[in-house]
Amino acid sequence: MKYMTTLLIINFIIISTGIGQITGKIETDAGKIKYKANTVVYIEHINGEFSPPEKNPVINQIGLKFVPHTLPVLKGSTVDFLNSDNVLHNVFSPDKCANKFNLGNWPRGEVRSHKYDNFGCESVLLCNVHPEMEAYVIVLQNPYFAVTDKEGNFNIENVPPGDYTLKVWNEKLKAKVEQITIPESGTIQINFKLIK
Amino acid sequence: MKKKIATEVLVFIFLFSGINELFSIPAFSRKYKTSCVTCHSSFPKLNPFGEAFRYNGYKFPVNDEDNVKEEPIILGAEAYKMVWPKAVWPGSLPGTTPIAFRGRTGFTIGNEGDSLLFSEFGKPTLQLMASGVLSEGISFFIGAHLYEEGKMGNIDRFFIRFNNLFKNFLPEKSLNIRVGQFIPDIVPFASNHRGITNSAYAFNTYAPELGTGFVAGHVHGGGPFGIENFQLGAEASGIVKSRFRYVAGLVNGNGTEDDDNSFRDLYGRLSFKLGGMAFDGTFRDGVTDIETSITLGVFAYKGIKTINSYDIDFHRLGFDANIYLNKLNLVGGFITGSDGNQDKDKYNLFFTEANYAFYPWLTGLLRYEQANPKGKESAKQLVPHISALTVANVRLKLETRLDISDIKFNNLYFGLDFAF
Repeated sequence: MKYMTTLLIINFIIISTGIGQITGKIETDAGKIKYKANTVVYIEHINGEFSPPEKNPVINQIGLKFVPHTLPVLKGSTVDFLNSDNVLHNVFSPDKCANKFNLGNWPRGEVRSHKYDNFGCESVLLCNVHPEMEAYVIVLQNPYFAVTDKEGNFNIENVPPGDYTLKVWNEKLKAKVEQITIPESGTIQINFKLIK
Repeated sequence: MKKKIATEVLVFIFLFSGINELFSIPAFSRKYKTSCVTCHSSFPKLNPFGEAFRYNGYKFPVNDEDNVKEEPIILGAEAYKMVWPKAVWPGSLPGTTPIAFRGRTGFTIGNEGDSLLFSEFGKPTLQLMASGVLSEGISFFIGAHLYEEGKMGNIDRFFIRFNNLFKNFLPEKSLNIRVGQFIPDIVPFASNHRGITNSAYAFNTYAPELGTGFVAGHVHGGGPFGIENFQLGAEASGIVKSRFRYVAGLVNGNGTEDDDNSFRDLYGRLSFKLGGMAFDGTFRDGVTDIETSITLGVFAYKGIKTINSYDIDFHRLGFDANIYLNKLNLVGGFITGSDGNQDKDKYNLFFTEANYAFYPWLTGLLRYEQANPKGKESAKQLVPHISALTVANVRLKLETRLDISDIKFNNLYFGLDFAF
């Protein structure tokens, strides 16, 4: 057991010292530009165990919207849901993989939390007080992911060298899976096209 | 000299219209931020894309979402579908109130009796139209003549359309149902509501009781039967394999008035389009109204009317064709019918019409119609017409109606038609 733990720590250190970088852009057809943003680009699997961050990721409910709209997290992460509006908000998810939770209603300034245990879960978040609100939590295996900005740009840093599968998640559209090789150092550039 | 006069007429039209300042903005134009000519060749006549738009529940037939520029108000996130029946199915509201207006007025010079010439400015007609989508699968259309030729008008169309029903089990677009008050979709391309002439299509409005005369327009109440009367009921329609379309309806049968019997009227239509844009908006060749295609249709209507407590069967049967040869659009149809058991109740009627787009803004039309009531003389008329779009939503029209049996100058109509 001690041997295994030591191996894992060494493995994690090696992975952590990688300086590879993946940058790129998401493209869409003219009518689907709005889907460029909030798309998750992630490495499907990297050997090793990755612990969730000490500080919980936060989804803010502000201006009757979930911010961010898409939140990728590591398995075991607890997400804090903050209400910043002057109205009551609720958060629930009908997805089995997120244990179909409902956190009830709470006022401005308060936070309620939920832990995501299932790797691969693509869970929608809804507010039963404001049915138009919608957001997604994506549970991933490793921390090598990025969420695209408005223009569709993404940047994944400190990726250890190796051969990987790079995937894209979008709430509406799909993209081709890419096999990539991260060199000892340097940046690789890769673009994706989102299609129906 | 002739060329000079023609040029002056064109200059007058353009000056009159302020061509560079206006942009067409009725409800769908606003939603998609596109000109009227996307759907209309010369409004209100629909081009093939406009027909596909209508068949698709007032949405772009392909990739609608990509083309909507005016974001709708979301009444529920799409993921709420997963929660149903524990929550309301998600829907949407149009981003702005989807209302459009259409106004018409005209000036007529004509004969009164054999020789007396008269002229008259016509009373205007103001029409309101509201239409949009309430969710992916529900559309609505409301049309009202607010003011019609000097009188307060009526609601003419008021229906909800459920689109793409059972889409998990049936092919896409194969079943749509609309309920409410509408014009039966029997002969779509000869609709008076989507025609450019001031004279109504006798094909849609003629009944044997009219004898040698043609009725002027729609029947709002329970007057003479016409296949394009406004009716209360339900209608199913759908597109099969892109190029076949069916319509089947069940209506009260007494126009917009309460029915006079407990029988419902039935009607149906089958059509097939070869070439050009398919009914579902997919392409084979050509774009918008510049295409080569032929659409053939057959239709039937069977109803019962009650007169003095007697139930009387009546029916209509017919076929039609709509041909596009690039800028030339030829339309024709034949209808036969009977409003009772006696010879005097029977008739047949045919019409043929040519539309030619000299320019995208200038359309010429010539229509011939002949009604043959049994045992009576035929009624014939020839309708030459010119429409000029000064801008996409303002149309000037010049039309006359000639009685072929006794050719003489009947009237000359100058019209102005605009929508916003």
